[in-house]
Amino acid sequence: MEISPAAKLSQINTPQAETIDAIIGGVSKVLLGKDKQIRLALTCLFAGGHLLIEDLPGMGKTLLSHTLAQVLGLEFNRMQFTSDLLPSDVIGVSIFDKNTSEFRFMPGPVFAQVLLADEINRATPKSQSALLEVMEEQTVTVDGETHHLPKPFFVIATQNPATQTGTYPLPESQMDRFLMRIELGYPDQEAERMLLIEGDRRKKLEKLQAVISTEKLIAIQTEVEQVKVADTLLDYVQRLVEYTRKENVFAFGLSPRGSLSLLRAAKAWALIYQRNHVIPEDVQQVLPSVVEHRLRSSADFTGHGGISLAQKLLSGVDVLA
Amino acid sequence: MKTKSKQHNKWQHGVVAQIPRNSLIMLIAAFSMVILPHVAQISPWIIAAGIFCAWWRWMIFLGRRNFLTIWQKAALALACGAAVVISEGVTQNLETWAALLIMAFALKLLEMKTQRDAYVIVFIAYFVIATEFIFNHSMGIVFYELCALILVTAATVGMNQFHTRVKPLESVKIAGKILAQAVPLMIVLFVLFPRIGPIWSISSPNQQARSGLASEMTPGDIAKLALSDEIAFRAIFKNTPPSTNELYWRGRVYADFRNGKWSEADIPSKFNNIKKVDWVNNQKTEWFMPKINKTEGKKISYSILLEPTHDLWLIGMDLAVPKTPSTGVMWDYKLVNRQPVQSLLRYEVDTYPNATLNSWLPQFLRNQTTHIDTNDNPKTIAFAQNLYAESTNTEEFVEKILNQIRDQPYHYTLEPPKLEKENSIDQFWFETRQGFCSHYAGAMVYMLRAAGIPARMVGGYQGGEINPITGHIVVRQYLAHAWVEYWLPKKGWQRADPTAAVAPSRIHDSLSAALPENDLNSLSTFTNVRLNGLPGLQKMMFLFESLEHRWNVFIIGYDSKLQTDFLQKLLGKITTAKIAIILFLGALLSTIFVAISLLWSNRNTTQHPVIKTFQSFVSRLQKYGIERSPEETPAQFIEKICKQRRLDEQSYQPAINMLNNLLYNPDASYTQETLHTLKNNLQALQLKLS
Repeated sequence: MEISPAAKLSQINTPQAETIDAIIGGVSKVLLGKDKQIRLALTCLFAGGHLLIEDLPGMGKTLLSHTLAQVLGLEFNRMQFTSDLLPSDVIGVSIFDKNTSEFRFMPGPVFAQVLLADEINRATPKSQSALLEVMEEQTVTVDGETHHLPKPFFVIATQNPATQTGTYPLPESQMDRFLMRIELGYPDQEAERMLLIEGDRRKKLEKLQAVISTEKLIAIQTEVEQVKVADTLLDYVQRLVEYTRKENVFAFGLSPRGSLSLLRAAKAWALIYQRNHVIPEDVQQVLPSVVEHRLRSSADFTGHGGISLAQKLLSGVDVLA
Repeated sequence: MKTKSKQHNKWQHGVVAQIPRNSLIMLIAAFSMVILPHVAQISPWIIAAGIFCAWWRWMIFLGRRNFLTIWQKAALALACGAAVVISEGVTQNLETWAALLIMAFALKLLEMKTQRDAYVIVFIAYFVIATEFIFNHSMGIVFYELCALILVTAATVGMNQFHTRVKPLESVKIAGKILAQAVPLMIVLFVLFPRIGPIWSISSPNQQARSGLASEMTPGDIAKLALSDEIAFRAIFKNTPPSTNELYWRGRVYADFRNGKWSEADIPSKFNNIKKVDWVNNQKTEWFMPKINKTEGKKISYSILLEPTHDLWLIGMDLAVPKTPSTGVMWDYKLVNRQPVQSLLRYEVDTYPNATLNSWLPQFLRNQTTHIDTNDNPKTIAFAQNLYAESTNTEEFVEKILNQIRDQPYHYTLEPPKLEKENSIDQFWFETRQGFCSHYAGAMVYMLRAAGIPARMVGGYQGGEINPITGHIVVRQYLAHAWVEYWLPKKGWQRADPTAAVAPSRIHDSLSAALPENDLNSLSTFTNVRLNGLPGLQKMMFLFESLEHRWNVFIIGYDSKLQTDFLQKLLGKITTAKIAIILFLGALLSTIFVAISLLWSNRNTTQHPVIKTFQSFVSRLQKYGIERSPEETPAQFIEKICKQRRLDEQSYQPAINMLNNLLYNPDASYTQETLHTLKNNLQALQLKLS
């Protein structure tokens, strides 16, 4: 779906407009021809949600997450999830300090502003849930002591499609914790050509400068909250959610968390397009990324094949009622 | 190998036609609900067996029991059929058939495996619901069966629900809606569809009237008179009803006394040419009927709604002259119906309280009403003859007997000591001196007969409670009563009530006032509340009773006669064609009504004027072959038009911006002016297209 020119025209310059443009420009330099995906990823982070990137190996999932963390100037840790990963490898462990004769907490890799959880579905559910608990609570409790994570805290997870061998599919309850799930897809002809000429993108990554500071990111997040929503739009969102709960093609409807996420993502999307209010196009643009991993077709017993469902949902609900 | 492949096929078949879980639960629940009320007419063990089958089917679902094999099923079906025949007997009664139906229904549930079986269960359930109405159509049961109907329909809805979207409440709601849509048509059919008489004749149920007036009465055998608060009948008086102490409702007449047992007497068979009943619409007035027009005095008109008695006799106050066809007066002045009263019967009666009953007494009647066995109760006979000798006339004699009851320590109680078969009246009159109405009435009739005065016992009801809401009189079984009738030359039959002598409050006040405390305590809670108090609860009972009464009058009482009257008022002369037309029109109207209400509930409720303006713009564009698909936003729609018709997008941008702003920017508020501008903009676009 193309971005409507109307959306561009009803722009109102928002305070953070230039910053946002700069971020998008920075990421685009590394990841070629993925403008929409970059915007969606930013939408997710501006809305303060965790991001799940799903695609085949070698599509640039890790590159995108690296780039995002670097451009946003966030302190980040990268973790490779494997089947022998243990919860303590994620959240940290208490060790005995000989000098002080006391137990000391060694923070795990989650203690960062951005955690890149690479190939999250290669770890066993036990370790997955250790991370997912952190995602929800934003705290780590070890030996009865609670440790707070830095703010902002994002998890950018990548995963291979569940049909690949050696994966443990994330349960629905844990998928639900990710605000958005995006897919990168193959690059187009032009971008591929560029890629072949210029070679490995990781070299570019090293030269990339942080565009904004943590304070600015928090300011953008606050601004997302202030994007206005008209009753007519709320009606539309409610109709969408109602449709998933009522129609038989969906195995189950969207949860309240799902509907909240949809609106929050739409607000962030509106902000990226420098509008101070949400229009239905915003909802339509973010909807597939927000709902696909939360829905399941009634006819599908295996997994998270919600792609056509988002289209069904959009075409089944009247924007105007 | 062979069995394996067979098994395989079976399994596949099962997957396709499996009964969804929620619908299975609902079916089992509906089954139990539907068969339960039949416990009133068939042996309880059949209902219990049905519930057991439901439990078994549930266990099959849980995987703890297996479906029966074909041989087990055959054996079980034979055994159950035989058991039903043994317990219900081989009769033509509907109850037997109902029992067989329920048994078969239960067995069918047991073998319910696929969706097809489930539909069979659903249809039988509907049929069983209809069957219940043959036996009972009180308001409560109609409400109950309505709930059952919703449950059965919900199970059907559930079977068509997607198995991943199990929403039992949702299917109940849908079932309710489906049934609600049928209500207008139901009303039309109820009011207009011709009442066709039964195609087959229904034989009378084998059950005895559970309470009420029996054809025989043995006071000595009853150690404890159970008081039932079941309703015997209701009476609606045209004018103010007489006070309750004058309400002596005649039911049966007991003229025969043998070995402590009172029973109804018939005209001796050698007089079989004597007419026994004066039917309504009978041109001739029979020998026992007084000349009504000559009787001076008042006439009391009322109608009676008699609960089923499964017997012929009806209720009325002396002298009762019924006015409803197929009813009549018998030679002993009790009212009768041509058929046993199997369901609520409404009939009209005129009572002439001053009419003379039997101004002359035929010999057979005199013999019948003076007969006593002189070997039985010698002490009472001697006592009565002594007392009679002291009296100057019959009235004085009667008064003396009553005085004896008043002055001597006689007690009114519902729990009298048992009496021997022989000399039972002696035992009562001289020894125990405790009893209820029929003890006293029996003794008094016996003494009158001993003195050679024709006398008999009348059984019926005395009193009644006025429902303050609808003003009708309710008579419950606990008001059953017995009193004495004795004959005087020229004056005819006179009423005497010895119970009034022993317990005046029974007649003048209430039953509870007449009862000793001991008796009161043994009554059921409901009866106690009815009799004594708790004003709040009593009020609620009155309310419920009045509702039930209205139900009886307007729904059950709406018979073919009322229908004919109504149709005549509506159509003039009734012809088949006219009925067909009115039925068709009624059905059409009710369907239109449902259609309109559906449209109304689905109407577009958007009040937003900008959306309205845009929608009307969209609908106007339809004639240019431009359709808007639902997911298109206003902006996308206009852009699409511009692309299709090669119009300059930029020039319509202001309109798009305005639309977006008015619709989705909470800061922008619309005024008449902006709306007007918007309309003009859209109109300009439309003009471009035409």
